[in-house]
Amino acid sequence: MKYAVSIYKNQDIQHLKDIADSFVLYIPKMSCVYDPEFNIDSALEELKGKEIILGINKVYLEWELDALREFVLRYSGYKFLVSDLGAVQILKEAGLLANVIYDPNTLICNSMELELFSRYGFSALGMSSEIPLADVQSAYRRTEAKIFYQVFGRKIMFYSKRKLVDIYKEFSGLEFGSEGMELQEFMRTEKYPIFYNEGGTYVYRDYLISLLKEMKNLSFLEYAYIEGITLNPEIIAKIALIFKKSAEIEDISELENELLALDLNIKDGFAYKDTAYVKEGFDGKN
Amino acid sequence: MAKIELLAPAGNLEKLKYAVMYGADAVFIGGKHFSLRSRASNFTLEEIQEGCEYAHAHGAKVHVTCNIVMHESDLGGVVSYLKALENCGVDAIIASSPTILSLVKQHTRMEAHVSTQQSVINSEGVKFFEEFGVDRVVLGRECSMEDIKNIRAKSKIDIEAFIHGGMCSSVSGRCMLSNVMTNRDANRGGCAQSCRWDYRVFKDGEQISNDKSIFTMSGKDLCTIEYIPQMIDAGVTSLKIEGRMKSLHYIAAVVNAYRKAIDEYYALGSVPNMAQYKEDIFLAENRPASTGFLAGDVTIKEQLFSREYTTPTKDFFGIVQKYNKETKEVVVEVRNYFTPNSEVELFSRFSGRTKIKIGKIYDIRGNELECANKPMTLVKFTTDVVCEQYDIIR
Repeated sequence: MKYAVSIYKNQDIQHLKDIADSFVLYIPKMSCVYDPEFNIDSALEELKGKEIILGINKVYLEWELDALREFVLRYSGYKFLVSDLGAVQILKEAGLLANVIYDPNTLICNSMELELFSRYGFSALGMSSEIPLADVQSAYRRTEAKIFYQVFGRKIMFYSKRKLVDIYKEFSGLEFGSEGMELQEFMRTEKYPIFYNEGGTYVYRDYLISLLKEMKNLSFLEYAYIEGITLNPEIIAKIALIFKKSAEIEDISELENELLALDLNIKDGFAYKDTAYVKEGFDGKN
Repeated sequence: MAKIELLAPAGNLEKLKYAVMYGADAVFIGGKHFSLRSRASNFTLEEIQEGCEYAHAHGAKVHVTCNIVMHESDLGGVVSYLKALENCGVDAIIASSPTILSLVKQHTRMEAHVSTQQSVINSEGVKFFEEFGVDRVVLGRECSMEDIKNIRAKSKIDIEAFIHGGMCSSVSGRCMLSNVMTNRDANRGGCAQSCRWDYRVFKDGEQISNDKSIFTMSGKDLCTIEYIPQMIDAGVTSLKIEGRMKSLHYIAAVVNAYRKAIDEYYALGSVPNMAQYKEDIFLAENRPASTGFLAGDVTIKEQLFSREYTTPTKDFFGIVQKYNKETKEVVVEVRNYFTPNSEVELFSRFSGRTKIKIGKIYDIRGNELECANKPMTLVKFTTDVVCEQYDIIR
């Protein structure tokens, strides 16, 4: 299992480069959420010799395809985190399917889907974080697929091509910068971080997922992904170290305490619960 | 080139029949299994069979949605269900799961259509599914008209585009708001429409919105009848109206307006009566509408702020069952309350809209009524306006 961490800012690399195995870089215009100041080439230089995964995780509009093709060919020596089957097709035509981690976020929820996509020869497949861990384990047992799975950090829960914040600014007459924004639904107390750029609007869960206590049961993962958005790099480094150590020792209670001491809003998400779904089984008779 | 298909939603058998009667070339419905819209009154296999028989007898097709994203516990029975649908006479399956799409092609002769829940919005995505072996891709609603033209020009398989109805604010299939906020699974039919709720805005921990500047994610519904000529010229295969949970009146009125616009464009090369068709839609519509992404990025005009909902300007009173030209007596199946001595409108798929003055109303035995207030009962009154069976009184 490789630990992959997100990189949004060049200055974060120095804190993380010796801790993680793989680095997912989020690139201006190519990724969903990114820092406009991020410089990919200097990041690649600084991470030379490490496994790099380039986040091309948008759902691309027709007019964005030429830039995507150019980008993929320019950085063909690296892996790609991909969410759009159109982007997959471009990588397929470039002979780069083995470099692809296909993670459509919410759409791979069972072993049949995992098996079907495994036939493409991807580097790994991202499974949904909105299903119980037991389903992830069962899907792996049935397929032995290479799985990319988020084990820590915030998870995106809304991705729109609408520029909702710019439109809201026009509606409200308010002027504000892009960082540090949160939404709160009127009947709730939780606050959801919201990001926006020219590609659209992105809203994250109010809490951080942590599957630390399950890492031994998840040793089959190809990639255990630590998402650091909204956290500072020193904290991410501490978390990555805690997760790495968890694979090496039997009793992780001390590590759990270390994680608790960071005083973060941590929950286990859907790890132990399934979403509500009323279904009628089909027995052939209806 | 084949004439463009007008594809309408149907939440039950009656709506299916009205969609076909009022001009749909095909209808899409949900079965009891593997379908989103779990609260829509989905069809049993017997109803699907009856629906297929009715549609086929009138030259229309039936598409069935199997568009949930399956969890491990949902996997059983897919193939036998698909075969049962094929035996009912279903023409196509709409699915977002590549597994279901592939099973449709492996085990049945039905067409496999990629649901908009797969969020395909570029030609390379269509090409992926072309090579996968499906028959049709339903494009995501984020495509502009220019995108649709370019995608169509580069694709060999059928392309379907949404033209009317509700819009997801999120990229379809990728939204987890409902799952996280309510534990209701959007990709398994339980969407709580959390994007339509009101939100406060905070910046660096401080609230910056107030009661007059509520944040919403929600977009206006789609209404793109003006784009019909461009859709036809682009070579789009099918035009989809959304709304399996909408009323019979809405489906009949909206389908009929698009039907007339399409036919007029094919006959004349333009749609001189466009204003009338738009008005026909607005009389049945109950939410503000816009053209979504068709003109490009959405703006403040396409977003829904401040609960600016409208209600339909026409109530749906009943359906004509019989008209006697000699006695001028019309028998109507009641759907909503109406009274004697009122003015209503007859909406006919043949003759359009005509005002009717209702005098006295009688029950089917001839007893005079103070009002027609019992849904699904038959009442009668006289009118000089010639009515046809299945005309709508509103």
